[in-house]
Amino acid sequence: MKALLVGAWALASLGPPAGAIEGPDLGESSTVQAAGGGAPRGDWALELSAGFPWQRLRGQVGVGRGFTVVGEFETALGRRFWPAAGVGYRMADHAHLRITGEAMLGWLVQTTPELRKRGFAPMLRVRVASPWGRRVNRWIPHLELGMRPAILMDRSVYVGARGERTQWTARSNLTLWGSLGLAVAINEHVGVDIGIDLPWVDVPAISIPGFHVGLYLGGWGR
Amino acid sequence: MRRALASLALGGLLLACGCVNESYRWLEVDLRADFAVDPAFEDGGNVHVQTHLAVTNPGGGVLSHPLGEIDRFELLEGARSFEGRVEVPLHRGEGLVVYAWLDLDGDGLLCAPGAEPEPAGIAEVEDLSRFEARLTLELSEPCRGPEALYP
Repeated sequence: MKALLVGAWALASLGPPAGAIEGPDLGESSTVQAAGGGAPRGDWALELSAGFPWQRLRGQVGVGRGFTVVGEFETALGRRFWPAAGVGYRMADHAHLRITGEAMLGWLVQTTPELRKRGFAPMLRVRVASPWGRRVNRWIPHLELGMRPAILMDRSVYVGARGERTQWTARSNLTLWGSLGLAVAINEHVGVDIGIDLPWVDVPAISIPGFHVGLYLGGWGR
Repeated sequence: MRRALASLALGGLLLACGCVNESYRWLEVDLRADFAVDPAFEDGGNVHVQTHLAVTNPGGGVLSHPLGEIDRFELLEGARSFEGRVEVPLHRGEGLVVYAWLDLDGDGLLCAPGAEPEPAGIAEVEDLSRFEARLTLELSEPCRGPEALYP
């Protein structure tokens, strides 16, 4: 894992080749864009992912210069929700390697009565995809690594002889995310995905791994 | 005033955002407690004090029980009185009980096999509505923990 991160960082530091993702036709399917992040200006992609215990709806639009605007809604069995929006930047853009960094601002809501949580939860994420195959880069193994701290505010009300005062305290918890999958581009606009999710929710609590199947759509109207 | 307004503004903002996770409520009680050692016991060593809720999880549910420790501390240098502020966690329970014992042999433990019996005592604060209380505890019960003395 460490070697992978170091490798990703080294490749990312190369930066995108000039104009590499600005061209109108990269032969890149929306599946590659959704799995690896990043997109040429105006290209869009949508990910619908269902599994256990995580489900996700994610959309992105390329805005040029390697940047994408990303919106995401994630849930765990309808008990934990994370709506978020942010930007992505494709840091490496080679024929068989796409690396995108994403910075998201989100809000965590967990509705389980005994473990209620709500708070600001930004996320930093790296997406790595390695498209293979002729035509539309049909086979796309991809990896997603992320970290998401959540800031949780508690309220204490002190009642005493001098009246009432309120004190706010903040605590945080951390969720680390890993996901490994294989996406298959059916055509330029449609793809499917299967993968395993290896989240570490509320470190150091133990989390169980999960799996997902996904549908990628996009690219119409380019 | 400025702090109160700032707290109010921050509180309103956080409530609007729906981001209050845990909500705690504390009662601040200025407590003065004097400890008297029963003459039947030797008077020496430090007094160990525990503050407890009178009832934890009140309401009679399965998790409701007497007592519930709030804090514990030792009065140094043989002091026989305590004056200070106790914060009673109303989100956990209700009432305030003070328990104390005399550490005659200085081992930090209430009694031990072969050791001299150490006296203990307990008292409940009757009225917390004035945010202050005064108690006198007689340490007269040998080797008794708070659960054995209350209710």
